[in-house]
Amino acid sequence: MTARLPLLDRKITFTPDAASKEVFHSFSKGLCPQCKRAVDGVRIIRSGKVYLRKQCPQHGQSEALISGDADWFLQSLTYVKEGSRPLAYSTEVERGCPDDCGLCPDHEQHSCLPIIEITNHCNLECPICIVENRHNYNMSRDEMGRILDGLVKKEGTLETINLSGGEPTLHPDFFALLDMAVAKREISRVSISTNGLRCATDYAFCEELAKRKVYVSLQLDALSNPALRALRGAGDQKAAKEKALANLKRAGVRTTVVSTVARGVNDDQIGECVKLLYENDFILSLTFQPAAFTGYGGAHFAPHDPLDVMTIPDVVKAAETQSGGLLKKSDFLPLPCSHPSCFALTYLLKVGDEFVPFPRFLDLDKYLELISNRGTIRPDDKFEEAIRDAIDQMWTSSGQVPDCDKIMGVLKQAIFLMYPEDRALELSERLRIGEGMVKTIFIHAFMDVHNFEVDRIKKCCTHYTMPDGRLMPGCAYNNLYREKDARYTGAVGKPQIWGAKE
Amino acid sequence: MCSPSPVREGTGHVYYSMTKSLCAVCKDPVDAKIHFVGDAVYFDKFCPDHGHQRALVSSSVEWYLDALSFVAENTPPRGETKAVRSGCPFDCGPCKSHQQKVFMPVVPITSACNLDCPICYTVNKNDGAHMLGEADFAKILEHLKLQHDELDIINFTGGEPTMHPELPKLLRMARAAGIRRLTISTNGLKLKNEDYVRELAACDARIVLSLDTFDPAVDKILLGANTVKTKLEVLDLLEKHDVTTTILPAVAAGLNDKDLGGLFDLMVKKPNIVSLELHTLTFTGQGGVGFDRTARITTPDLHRLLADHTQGAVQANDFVPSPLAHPHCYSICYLLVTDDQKLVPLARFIGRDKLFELLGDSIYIQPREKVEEVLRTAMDELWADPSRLPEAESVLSTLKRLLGAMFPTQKPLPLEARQKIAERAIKAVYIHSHMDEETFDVARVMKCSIGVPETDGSNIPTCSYNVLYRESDTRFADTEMLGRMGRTGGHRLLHGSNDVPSKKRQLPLVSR
Amino acid sequence: MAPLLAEQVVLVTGGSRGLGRELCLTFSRHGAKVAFTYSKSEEQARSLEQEIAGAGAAVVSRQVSALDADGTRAFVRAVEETWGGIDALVNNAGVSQNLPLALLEEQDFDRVVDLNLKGAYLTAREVLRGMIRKKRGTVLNVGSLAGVRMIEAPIHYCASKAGIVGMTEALAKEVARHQIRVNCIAPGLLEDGVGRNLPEHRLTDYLKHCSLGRVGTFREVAELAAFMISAKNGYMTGETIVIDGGV
Repeated sequence: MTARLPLLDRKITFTPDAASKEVFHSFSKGLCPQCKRAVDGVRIIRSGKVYLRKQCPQHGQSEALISGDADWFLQSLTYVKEGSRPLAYSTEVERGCPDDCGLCPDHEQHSCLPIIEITNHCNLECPICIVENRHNYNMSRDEMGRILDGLVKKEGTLETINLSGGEPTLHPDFFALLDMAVAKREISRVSISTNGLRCATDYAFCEELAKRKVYVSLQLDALSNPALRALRGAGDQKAAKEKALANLKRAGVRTTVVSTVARGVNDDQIGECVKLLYENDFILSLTFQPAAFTGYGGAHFAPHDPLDVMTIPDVVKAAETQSGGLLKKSDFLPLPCSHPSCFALTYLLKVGDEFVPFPRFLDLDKYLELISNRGTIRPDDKFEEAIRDAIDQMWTSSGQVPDCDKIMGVLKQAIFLMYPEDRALELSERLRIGEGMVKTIFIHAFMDVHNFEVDRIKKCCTHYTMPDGRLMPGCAYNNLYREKDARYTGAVGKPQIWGAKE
Repeated sequence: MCSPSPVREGTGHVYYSMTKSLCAVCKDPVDAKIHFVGDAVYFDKFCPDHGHQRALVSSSVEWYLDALSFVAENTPPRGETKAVRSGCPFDCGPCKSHQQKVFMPVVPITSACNLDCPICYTVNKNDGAHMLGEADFAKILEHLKLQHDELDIINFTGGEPTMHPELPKLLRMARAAGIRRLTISTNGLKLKNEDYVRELAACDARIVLSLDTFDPAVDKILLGANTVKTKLEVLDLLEKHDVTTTILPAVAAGLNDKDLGGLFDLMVKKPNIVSLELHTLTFTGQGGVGFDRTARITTPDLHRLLADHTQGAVQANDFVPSPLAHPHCYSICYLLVTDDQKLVPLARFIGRDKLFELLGDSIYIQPREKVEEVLRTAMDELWADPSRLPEAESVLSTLKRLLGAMFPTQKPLPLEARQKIAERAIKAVYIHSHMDEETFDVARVMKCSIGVPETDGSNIPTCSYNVLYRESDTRFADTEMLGRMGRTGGHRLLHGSNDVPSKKRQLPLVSR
Repeated sequence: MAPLLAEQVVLVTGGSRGLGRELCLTFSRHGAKVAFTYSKSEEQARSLEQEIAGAGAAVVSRQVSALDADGTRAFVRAVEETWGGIDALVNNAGVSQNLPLALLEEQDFDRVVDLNLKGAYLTAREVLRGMIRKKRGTVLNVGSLAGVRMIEAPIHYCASKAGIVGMTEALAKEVARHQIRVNCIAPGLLEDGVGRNLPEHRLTDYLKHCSLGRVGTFREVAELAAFMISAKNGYMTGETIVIDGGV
């Protein structure tokens, strides 16, 4: 009998005292926050939360919160599925994890989301920045070419890649590099991560992005200045973001809003971000990133208490309480493609003016099938099958799913649009149609030196691309390798920080 | 035109999580990825010196995850703990990473043994054998008393504990120190002497008799001797003197797994045999290190064998982990044998969660108030809805008879007599899987609640002891025996061991 | 405001006459569905059924003795099947017999004690099955002042009613773990009750000691019983409430 994962009926049995005392759950290798050596750690459940307690032979004991909800954590563990192998590995296994990045053949997942940092120049000095910008490097076309070819060699086809930095829009050769990526037919989607300052002031720039069908991941933590300033630095951040949004909307750029959530700073703005998603057609998805304290932010953002940080279930809970009932905890599930502690999400189907989370009408294991080794819902055969099954299910169990008539209507429409009788659409066309009907809320949790777990990094699917061909699992790079990147050595450049004068 | 892009393939396994294990060759600490391959669970390891290795940990993913879904609090050890220097398991014991206090001390009172079993998982020494002195034992007892408010149980082992001339004295010392249950793990050969049995019975000791098979051919392979006849005679003597007994086979795949049914039936039949303790064969010790590894068997395999033998009367879901240890260490099933000889697992009668709860106070369920409460509620519910259990009527009438026997109206029984009736009415199956370097999982060692106590108050978890520490313990391991095992002494990461660097052996990579 | 016993299913033993009859009527008035047993009075049972049904309430009855365990079980099952479960049992069926010691034979003793005490136990047992399955319910035993206080009354009657008190307490202890309450109501002398054939001087003697100076009515006892079996009485169990006008 093969166990079907995740074990959806998994009941957790507790002893009566388990809730009031400490529970040792498992072993986990972490990092000593002082010397960054890999050290023994244990996961402890205490007062309904999960902590990582580490023992460094030199610096002694340290503790960090790794999950704000022990029930969520325990249930999430079995959201695991078979991973896929990249077509090629770049390094050998020599010393063991995490010293052989990347990827080494012991890695457990391919690159779902490669990130190309095309520059380390930036025009903000965000207190919460997860990288360390030295303002002294811009990627050459040659390097970009090598990276793109390398990605195709290692992945075959890529659903999405992301250009980032620093602030990528500052790169003097920005469009040349962007066009190289867009031109690759093996890459379905190209996105850029940006603070939006150029979009705010340069409408033509937005039009150029729209022309190339590029997706913009707009950094937007909140819609109020105090919160924004605490996270992003001086300046009228709110105005800039609003202008950026307006321009992107006008130009018709497909936009994702990315919000870094820090406890006590903007964790009360989650509802606002959800509202923004719901009210704007051009915003396709929303990603919450519980703050991770690496890079500049790790050294400068104060105060932060590793025992009191936002974790995935904390964001889920906030989304529930702040969305006025539109979202529930049960709408969110861990993404089995990466480690269950790294990603959670919910897909929302647009039904008239409302958005209905998929788990409410789609059979749970079908839903998980769909999202399993991919970051986005792919309108392929499995998807069509799942939608048809959902329609049948709702039709035969009429009335069980609230609003099922409306939902069925929308799903029917989706089938007709995506699989019209007269011709077979290209995947990219179907993706576009799908985008009009489906929105996503992601929660992506990065690790810092406090909550780093070797367990998680092995299944990482978000990789930084190196010109020498290596792909570095994101959190391993941010914590252990970025400081050694040969491209960034040399004197720190002189940045021009927007809003610094104000 | 353009050729279609090559398609990525699946990894062929599911990556569940990670733990820390040991290299099968040099016993250095290594990361172990936990892989689900088909329906089985493997550790996938990498040693920088000896390469990739794989070890079978469970033949069932379902059992592996089911056990982990049982969550119990832990009670950290009281008092001083050692600093973490090399990381688990090289800093025993206990060190600051240890999560659970001792619930059952296992005291090897001698290194002498009158057998030389090919499967032996300890290391024995007969020349100049170590015999635990009374003064040292007194020190151990003192430390145990300091660390615990009450100690439920202690286990005497060795070598062969009956080779210790003062065993009865040690038993009496333990009883005087207030330890409720005294068990002796023995091969039973010396118990052929009826006077000796009487003496041990008088000390109120319980015998855990090693009995692996009924087949002399298999006996020869596992124990290297002809012991079956003697052991069966010993069982008769134990029955005659009403000594509470446990039968303990070490189960090896392809060898004595066929005897499981017979051993189970023997337990059910004999009133004085209260439990069957199954040990999955582990490859440590003077015999174990060299024993054929195809004999490896895992806990869920034993569930399957029992389910087949009892035709479903006892199944995997009738077992729960022990809340006092890591969930993968013990798998426990309690059974009521009804008056009409039906087997009713307690889990089906009181529920798995209640069984798990009752096992939270001590390794063995004691007939205490909490048990009475749970049984009463379960009894009412069963009576109210007999359709829940096909054997409902048998269960209720058996319970009625037991109550009558425990509380006779003519003359009230003393507490021990009452407890004995209750105890003898229930049979238990304990599956205990010790680890060797292949299956070593530091998470299990961190929550270990049994261990070898020392006169200085320290305690080393049994599996760490078997895999690493015993080999540096000159009371047990001499160079001759170590040579026979192909070892050169303690691991270099153990503190205070003879700093002989372990030879890097060029064995072919272990793969499965 | 919802009626006191809205949605409740109540089983009353010996419900066709006397106090039992008033219990059925009162419970029904308070919104309960009533099932009752009777042993002999078929006609009165029918008329009671008509009266209750006439008022638009649900009622069902069966002729079964409290000592007939099988018959009781069958009726209980039938009620459970029809109405989904029994929420309250009122053990009311009981007899008395005015016999002094000299005339009180063994079979007389057996008859009264069996009907009053064992009958209550057997009925309770059958009904508790379903209550334990559902983890809710309540039992009300009809005792008597005679079982609580030393008053002049037949030996076997007093013995049976005192037994009811003990059984109430023991049963309450046992089934509390299932959230089931067991209580007892102990009325004094009532109009037209089992004490109706009291010699006159005994009646006068009683009234002399009764603070309110009168016998009680069935209605008064039934209203208290209704409260005791209702959900409003959630914190009382193992209790015997005396309702006797203050003797």
